[in-house]
Amino acid sequence: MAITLLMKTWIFALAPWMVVTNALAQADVPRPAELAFTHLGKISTPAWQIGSDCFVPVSSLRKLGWKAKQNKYDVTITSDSRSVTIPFRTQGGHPSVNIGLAAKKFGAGGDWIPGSGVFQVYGFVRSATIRDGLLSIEATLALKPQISFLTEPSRVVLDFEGMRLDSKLKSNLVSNARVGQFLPNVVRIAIETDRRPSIPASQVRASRVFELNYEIEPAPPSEGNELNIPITPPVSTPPGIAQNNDFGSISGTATGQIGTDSPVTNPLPMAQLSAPELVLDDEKQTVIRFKPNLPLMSSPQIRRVASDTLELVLPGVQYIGELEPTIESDSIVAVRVAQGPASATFTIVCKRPMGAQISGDKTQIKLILIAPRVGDGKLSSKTIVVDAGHGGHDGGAQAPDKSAQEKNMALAISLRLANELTQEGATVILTRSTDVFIPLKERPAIANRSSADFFVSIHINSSKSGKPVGGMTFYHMQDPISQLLGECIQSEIAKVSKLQNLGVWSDSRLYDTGLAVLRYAEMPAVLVEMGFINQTGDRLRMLQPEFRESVAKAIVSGLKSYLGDTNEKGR
Amino acid sequence: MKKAGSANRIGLLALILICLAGVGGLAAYVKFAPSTIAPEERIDAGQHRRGTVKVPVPIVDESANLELGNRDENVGKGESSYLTAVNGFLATQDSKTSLKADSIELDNKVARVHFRKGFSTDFGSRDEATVLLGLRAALGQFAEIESVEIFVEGQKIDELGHISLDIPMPVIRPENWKNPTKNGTGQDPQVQR
Repeated sequence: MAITLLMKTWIFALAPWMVVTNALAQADVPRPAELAFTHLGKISTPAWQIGSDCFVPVSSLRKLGWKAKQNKYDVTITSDSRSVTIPFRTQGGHPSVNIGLAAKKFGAGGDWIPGSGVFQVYGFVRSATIRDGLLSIEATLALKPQISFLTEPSRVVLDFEGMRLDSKLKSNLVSNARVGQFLPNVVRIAIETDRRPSIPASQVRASRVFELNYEIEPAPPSEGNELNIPITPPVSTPPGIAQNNDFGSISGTATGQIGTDSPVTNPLPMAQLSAPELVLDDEKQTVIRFKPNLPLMSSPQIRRVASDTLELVLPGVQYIGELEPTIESDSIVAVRVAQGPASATFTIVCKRPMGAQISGDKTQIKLILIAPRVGDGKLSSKTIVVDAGHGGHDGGAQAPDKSAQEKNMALAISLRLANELTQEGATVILTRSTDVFIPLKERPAIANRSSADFFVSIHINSSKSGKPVGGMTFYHMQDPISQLLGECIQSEIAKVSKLQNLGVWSDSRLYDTGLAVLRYAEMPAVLVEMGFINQTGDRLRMLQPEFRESVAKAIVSGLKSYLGDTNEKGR
Repeated sequence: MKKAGSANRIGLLALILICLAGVGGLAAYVKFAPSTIAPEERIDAGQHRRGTVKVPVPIVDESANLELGNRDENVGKGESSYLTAVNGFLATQDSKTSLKADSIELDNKVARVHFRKGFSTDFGSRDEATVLLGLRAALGQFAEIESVEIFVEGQKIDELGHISLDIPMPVIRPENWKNPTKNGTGQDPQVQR
């Protein structure tokens, strides 16, 4: 009895502790944290880790160079003329925001430095271009360089702390200039030049765009330092290895920052990769296999840089094969490899535009190139169903002042497109040529019944949330052939529309079951959203007759590009 | 015997102290635990009856990507927590028009959302997807609801201007609000022009 009583007593005594422990384990109890922000480093502000997020008081955002306006339910944050709106929560008595979410809205990134309790926000360098001696850097958050001058060869080196290279970096830097991820949190640009450029006064304040004219005559030395941008003295490095060492060796170790002798170890080992091999090559598809000796750190990416040219980026890969490996395929013209500091990029030039997919896992990547069925490759022999969105009682989106309606704008563009296609000798079927309502499923059914070769649906977008602008083209789910068609068309539209290019989207990004007209189409099918009717700039542009004509012609060019139809006229 | 009894009393006293400390700890946790619910936390069935619901707040970035944040809203006396959540969300889309649910009935885990009129008149594809995802999210916080159907003037609608509704619309639970179409984006090849 006594033992039973004792056990019961112990259980009653420990029960509250068990409840507390369990509750604490399950709850996202705010924990004190620290914030590090781009080149500014650690920010003096309260911060809390809640779950996987970092919250900081709204009032501290000004320390980041941001302006914040608190609304009833959310906070509008403005940085460099861009605004985002995110919800806030009360934490520690302060209205606080998820700083990682805010960074993401600005196109930047943030993550916890393992084991440190420090949340690090970093920007992405989106473009690095040189034109007529003017270096232009654009990033998603304000950046500020540390500038060094080195000799043998004479060059200027710019280090942007708190920045990472965007995987979609736009760069035209060539042999005398390079850009790379020098350290995990530092982007470096090195330019060979005999000049010692002065830093323009406009760069005193950090901004998202940094420009440096390195061809102009040097300014007096005093002007360089008064701008509060750290400049380290020239350092002589052994001839022959200087340029490579600006970016560290690709075997995983960097040679240290300019002006110091201490080596910096890159914590991320690179996977080695020899030449890729062709595993399948027939009239339908070509499959190329890549086998790195270590699993990839992150997923490979495909970029289409021209209708017939793809880039495959393998992050964390050191390529050790020939720079122009031979792939004996009837579909491939050439393969070239460019080794960057953090990735290897394979440029694959195909004989004609091909769809692309990646399969496999991180230790064995298969690039599958899929040949679209194009018949004789002539637009003139094809049947295209042109679908003007909405109609009749379904007006679609409308301008806030009701001055324009989607159904009318889509029809005007569709009629123009039909005219352009007819002139090319193609057969055109319009799902509607007047202001009538056609049910969604009936539209692709028209194309299916007529065994059309293509289905092109024309729409005008709108968003009552946020302020997106620009045009985009949708394809259905993961269909690589419709994706290819969308890429060919959207790239041509982007050349003439004078609107922001929001790219090519799988419709599953918009809604998980996709868009109805694309789901039920049995042929390559795309839906083009020209621009946002609720945004004045987009709307005024889309209402111009010249817009209708130019985008109609662009869609024709996109179809011909897809088909490999290079003749001016089909007939 | 006396010594044994004394030892027992000391042991009992120690146990009582441990018990009291535990109760104190529990009370402290209840008092000082976070006052707000992290966005990804799920509201359990019945919790909404306390008088507060989560209203999804759409956040669309410059590139038209959607994320759903949230805010709390009190359920008024005698009002439906379902309607409070749904109409709170719809108000983020357009507070001036008739974009407002009239009633919501629950039938075998399916929430039937009734509108009088004007539900699908002026949606672009971004708006349309946002509204549908927001509706599914607003009702996804209630564990007893598994899917959503939309009725306009008593008629079940099968399609809007872009999206077909003939496929069941499962609710989106709060843990998925941050990326409401993640099943779609997760498989996307990263292609850009």
